[in-house]
Order: sequence, then C-alpha cells, then structure tokens
Amino acid sequence: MAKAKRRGAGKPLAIAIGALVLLFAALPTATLLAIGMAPTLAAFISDMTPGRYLAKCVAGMNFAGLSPFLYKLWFTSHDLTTAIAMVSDVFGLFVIYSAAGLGWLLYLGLPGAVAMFRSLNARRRIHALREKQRDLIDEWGECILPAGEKKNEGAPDPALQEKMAEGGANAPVPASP
Amino acid sequence: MADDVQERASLEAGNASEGSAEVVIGGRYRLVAGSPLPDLDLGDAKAYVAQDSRNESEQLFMRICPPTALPRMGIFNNLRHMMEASLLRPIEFGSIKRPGIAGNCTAIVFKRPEHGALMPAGANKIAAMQPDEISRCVLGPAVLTLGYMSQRGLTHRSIRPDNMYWDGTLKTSVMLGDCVSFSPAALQPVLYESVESAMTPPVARGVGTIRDDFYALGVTTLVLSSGSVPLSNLSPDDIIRAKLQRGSFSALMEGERPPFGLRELLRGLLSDDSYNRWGLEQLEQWLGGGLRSSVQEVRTGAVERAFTYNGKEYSNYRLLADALGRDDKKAAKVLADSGLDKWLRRGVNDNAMADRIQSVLDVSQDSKTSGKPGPRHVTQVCMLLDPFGPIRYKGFVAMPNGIGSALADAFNRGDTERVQVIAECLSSGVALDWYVLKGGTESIIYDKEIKQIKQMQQILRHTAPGYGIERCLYILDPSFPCRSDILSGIVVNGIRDLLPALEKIVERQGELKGIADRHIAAFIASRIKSNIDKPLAALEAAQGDATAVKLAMLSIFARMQSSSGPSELPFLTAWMARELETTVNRINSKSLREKMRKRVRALAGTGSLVDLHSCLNSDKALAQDERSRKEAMRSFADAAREIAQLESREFQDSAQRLGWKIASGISTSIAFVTVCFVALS
Repeated sequence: MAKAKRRGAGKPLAIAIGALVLLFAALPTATLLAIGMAPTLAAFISDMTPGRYLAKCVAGMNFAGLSPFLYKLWFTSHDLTTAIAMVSDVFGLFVIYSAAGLGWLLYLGLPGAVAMFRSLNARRRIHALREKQRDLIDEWGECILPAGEKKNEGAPDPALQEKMAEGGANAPVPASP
Repeated sequence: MADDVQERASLEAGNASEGSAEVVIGGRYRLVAGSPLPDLDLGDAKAYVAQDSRNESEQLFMRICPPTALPRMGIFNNLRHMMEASLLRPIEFGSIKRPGIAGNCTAIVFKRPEHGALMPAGANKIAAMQPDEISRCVLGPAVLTLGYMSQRGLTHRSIRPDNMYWDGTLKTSVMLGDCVSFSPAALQPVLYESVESAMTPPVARGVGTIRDDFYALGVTTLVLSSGSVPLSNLSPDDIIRAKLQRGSFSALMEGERPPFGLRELLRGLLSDDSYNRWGLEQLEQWLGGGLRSSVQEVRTGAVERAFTYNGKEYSNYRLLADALGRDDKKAAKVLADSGLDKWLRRGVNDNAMADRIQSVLDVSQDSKTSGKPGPRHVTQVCMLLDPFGPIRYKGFVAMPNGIGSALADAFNRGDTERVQVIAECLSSGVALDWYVLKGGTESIIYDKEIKQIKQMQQILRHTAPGYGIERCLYILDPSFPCRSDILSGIVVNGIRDLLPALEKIVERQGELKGIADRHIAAFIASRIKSNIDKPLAALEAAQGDATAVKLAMLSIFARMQSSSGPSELPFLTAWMARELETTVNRINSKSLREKMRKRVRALAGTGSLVDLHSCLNSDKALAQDERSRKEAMRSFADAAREIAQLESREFQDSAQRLGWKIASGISTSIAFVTVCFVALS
C-alpha cells in the first residue's frame, strides 16, 4: 500500500520533470503544447467521472487538432517565433479548440446514444423473456412460480398479470443517462 | 386347467340362471323341471334329472347344494378326469339361484348311476353280503379308486353304504358316491369316522388322510357283512365314548363275532392307531390273499383310574381332552389347581404326561390372565392328552386342515365371533402348537401345513386390504368363491372369473358401485400368481382416497388381465378410463397432460386395462414430468433474474459507462489516425 502511495506521489513529479525538460530542451514545442492543449487541461481539472473519460475524450481530439501544427513547427523552423506565430493565429487556434470541442461533444453525446441503443435491446430481451415466462406458466401452471409468488389455486395472480402486461408495449425502458 | 373349468362353468351358469327360470349349466346341461330324484338326494342337496343338449341319451342328474354347503370344487377337475376310477364322476358345475332360497346354490351334474345305493339313506338293515362278494364287488373297486385318488393327493371322505352305488348291468361292482357336494366328511355319521375326526364338528373335519377313508371303508365293510348298522341306538357322543373305551373294533362288533374271513381285515381297517391302520398296500395284499397278520387292538388314551371333571368320570385322556376343550373357562379352573397333576402322578402314574402338562402351564404365555392358565393353556393341555385329536380353542374345534372349511362356514353364516376366534387361533400360534407339540418327526411330516400356518400368521399381522382373515379364508379354502359385495351376487370361484364378472356388472349397470373391498383384495391376493405387494401397499396408502384406490386396483386388474386375460374388457376399461381421467392432472405439463388425456380417451375403447395402466400409472412418465418441471422452474427463475438485471439502475449506469468508454476510444483513435496521416503526408 505504501509502495503504491509512493508510486502515486511520483507520477506528478515525473510529469513536472518531463515538462521542465521539455521547456528547456524544446521551448517552441512546449509553448505550442501549453497553449494548444489548454482545453485538455481544463477538461482534466473539471472531470469528476470515474476513469476521467471527459479528459480522455477531449485530450484525444485536442491532440488530433494540434498535431498538424506540431509537425509544421518541427519540420519548418523549430523556433519560438514560429511557435508564437502559430498560437497567435486565430484560425489555427480555432481548429485546435474546435477539435477539442468535438471531443467534449463526443463525451456528452455518445453515452446517451449507447444507452438508447442498449435500452432498446434490453426492451426486446425483456419482452422475449416475459414471453418465455408466460409460455412456461401456460405449460406448467403456478407450480413453477417461486414460493412467494404462488397464489390460491385458480385465482389469478394480479402481480403476475401486471408483470405479464408490462412485458408487452408498456414495459419500462431504462432511462437514458 | 382346473381353474378354467371352474370359472367357465360358474360364469355361464350364473348367466343362465339369472336370465330365465330354466337352469342350464355349462351351456348344455339342463335341469329337467319337475323331475326330482329323491333316491339321489344327499343331505339337503336335492337331485333332479338333467339333460345334455349335445347327447340327450346320456343319463345324468343334477345335484343342487344348499348355499351353506361348501362344495369341494378344488378337487372337481381331478375327479372329472378320473375315468378309470369307480366313482360317481362329476361332469360340470355352476352356480344358480333357486326360487325361495336366498343366495347362490351350487349345482353339480353327475352321471346317473345305473342302480341304487348299497343301503338306502336312513336305513339300518340290509341284506348281508358274503365276504367274498364284499371283497370282489366292494373292496376291489374301492381300493382301486382310493389308489387313484391317493396318487393325486386326494381323499374321498364320504365312504359309507348309502353313498355307494351298484355298478354294472349285473351289479358286479360298486362305485363310490359323491364326495364334492359338501366339505370333507361333512355328511359322514360319527360311526364312519375315526375317533379324532368324530370328535370334530362335521364342517371342520378337513380333508384328512387316506387312513380316514380306510377307516370308513372298514366300517362300511362291517355294515355290509353284518347287514346292520352297529351302535345305531347310541348318540354320537356315546359312539365316540364306546369307541374310546373299548376300541373301535370291539365297540363296533358289539360282542358279536366278526364275519368269517373278515376278522383281520376289520381289525386292520378299524385300528384306532392311524399309523397301524391298514393302508393300500396291506389291503391289496389281503385282496390277493397274501396277508393274514392281525393288528393288535389299541385303546388309545385309556387309563386305569378315572378323573372326575364337571361331574363326570373320565378314564381316557382323549375323552378328557374332548370334555376340557368344550368349555375353556371351566377347564382353566381345573388346570389352575393341582387335581389333574395329582391324578396323573398318583392315580395314573404317568409322570411323563404330568411333566409335559406342567411344563406347558409353567410357560406364562397368556399374559392377560396374569399367570393363571388361559385358553391357550387349555388348548395345549388338550393337545398333550389327545395328540391326534382336533384343535380345541375357546369352544372352536377343528382338525388343522379343516380350519379352512370351518372359517368358510363361519363366513357363510356371518358368525363374526367364530371368525374372530379362528383368526386368534391362527395368529396366536395355537394352530401351530398342534404340530409343534407332536415333536420332531411329526414336524417333518407336516412341514407343508406348518409353513402354511406360519404364512397365515404373517398375513394376519397386516390389517390392510389384501391381508387379514379374509386372505386366510381364500388361501385355506382355495375353492371358496369371492364374497365381495361388489360382485352383486355373481359367483366368482377363480381369479380368471373376476374380470369378466366385473365387466358384466359394468355392462349391466354402467358402473361399479365400489371397486375395492377387503374381500375382493384378499381374493385376488390369494389367487393371483404374480406379486401384487406394491399395488396392495398403494391400496393401503390410499386411505379412502377414491382415485388412489382406483389407480391401485387398476394396477392389480392390469396384472390379472396380463396373466390370465381376457384380452378385451371394453366396458370395464371404458368405465375405469372415465373414472381415472382426472388422474392425468398429476402430470404438471399441460401439453403432456393433454396428450395423455387424449391417449386415455383413445384407450377407453380398446378394452385393454394393461395399456390403460401403463398410461396412467407410469412411474417413468411421472419422473420425466417432474424432471421437466424442475427444469422449467430453473428457466423461469433465470428469466426473472435476467429481467430484473435489465431493469436495474446498475444496467443503466453501465450503459453510460460504456458510452464514455466508446467516446474516449473514438477520440483516441481519431488522434492516432490524424497523427499518422499528418506524419505520412
């Protein structure tokens, strides 16, 4: 446990050292990264989800938007002037931040779509299962019901009837997030 | 084979007698109305002329036994096929109803004898026969016939002059009379019976042994040779007393000299010691002129000084046993004091007998009597005093192999008290004592009988239907018809007869009022050859549940149909299918239930109880159904679990997490692709 803590404590330190090395070794790149990846930093700070999916979504798209400018910096003239010219270019920043925004939108929109898709599947599956249960009760009668659900002989089980009814078009659908 | 004849005859007779006033047996032997034959009457059994529709020239007569008679139908088939024997051969029998008589009468068709009886019934005097005529006309054919019967393990037990008929055109021979119309020796006067049999009530004398037939033949020979019935002025008790006091030979001779040439024969045949009595071998030798040795007369059980009991003096063990056995309460008082012991030790000087009686009394078997002598002690003491005499228990007197007919008689008369005493006699081991107290060698001789008594004890331990005294009745009297009320008066003598009888009832009434009672269960259990313990246990477990009882009986009936037919019982099968259709509800599966219901309806028309049984009583199908039900329960529970999971909040959360994962994956992939694309371009 203590070892894990030590490892956890060492990670920001390594990042900081890496950043310092980058700052001194490749200042133009560091400058471009610092300004270009700002949305990622903002997402990282505001992300409260377990697994930090927001930061991951934004980071990926943000980096995708930044990568052409990084290449241009590295393969034209790797100096601070070029870097500052890039970060001060409105079009460039628009492209980079728009990509990051797309990442944010992805984070916001995709889980809903997935949940919708899964709930539709679940509804279909529940319907099939209820059909199966109804068939089993038709075939075997109440004797196959769990002890708590058995009713007096001959009397219809309201809860069961309700359940059966629910199994059709009115079956509850899992709420989307 | 014997059963076949009995069953067919009885059913056919039953049908005929119910349908019209005309009596027809076996579909061909018709009673000729208004043609009584008083000379051929036997006891209460009246004789009438009978006619064979297939051979009208044959001289036949029909003897109609009263309902209380216990005809020996067990030996009917043997006698019917005993062509060589000089015997009044029975041809056919059946049960009929007679006007003015409650219950069923057994009608037996015989070939009509050409001449009358050697002595008219009730007569005391006839023309005396010469010894050589007796040996040629009477003893020769009688010995031959008894020999044939002995080979088949049968006894006649009705040998007397008024039940023997002249045979042949010139009366050169005699034939033995009817021995099937009544229980063994039931009509024999005491005079013609050996002492032990004479001391027993007629209905309980049992089949006895061939030695009893030879004794009766001896008395018959004496009557025929002397031309008069000896001791005719004495009561039955006095005849027994006379035989015991003087020995049978001396008592019957009444001081006269035996006919010339018959002394040895009569001494041999009239010996009171059954082991010394002449048998087949000696008689054949005598008839061949090769045996002249004489049997010493033995006064069995005689002692010098008398013992006073109940105001009378007894100087014979056997007579004393007879007196003690008549009233067990008085006898118990006598055994309780030391008078009998003193008499035996001092008066008779028979210490061995005194010791044996004392050892019996010392064993405190009757716990209810708190150590005092009880009825069983009295019985055992009687057995010691008269080892070959009958069983005497609480006023019930019977030879061991006559218990069956005594029991049948008690059932016939509805004497429940007597039935109870007989059941007690069997279950408590009193009947077994008769064999055990005789010692080792006798036990070996009577091994079969001992086993049967032990079997009765086992049966009496169970009180369930199919066991108890009713089953003992049908085992001990194998020809006793089923007394079940379900049969509505139809006489069923054999197991093969039962299903056709039930079929007939259902055909007539549309239903059976009941399907099982103690008698029908006991009758089947005692007669069926296959093991029906399992359905009997089911019958017991049914505890009055009508459907369970019907299912158990269906199982039994199916075995009966399978083993002895008939192959088709359409009315009974249809009725049982209708009654038992509800039992398909034992099947949980709806589809299987419907399938089975359809099958039961289809089987109703086939007449096969076997198929109906295998459909309704199939353990395999029930087990398969139960397995499938458990599987269905599991499937239902699994489905419920999955539904709950799909409807849970957790499932919704997991959908969101999945969405985020996919989004981050897409984002990362786009970044990777972009980097690659930029790098390459």
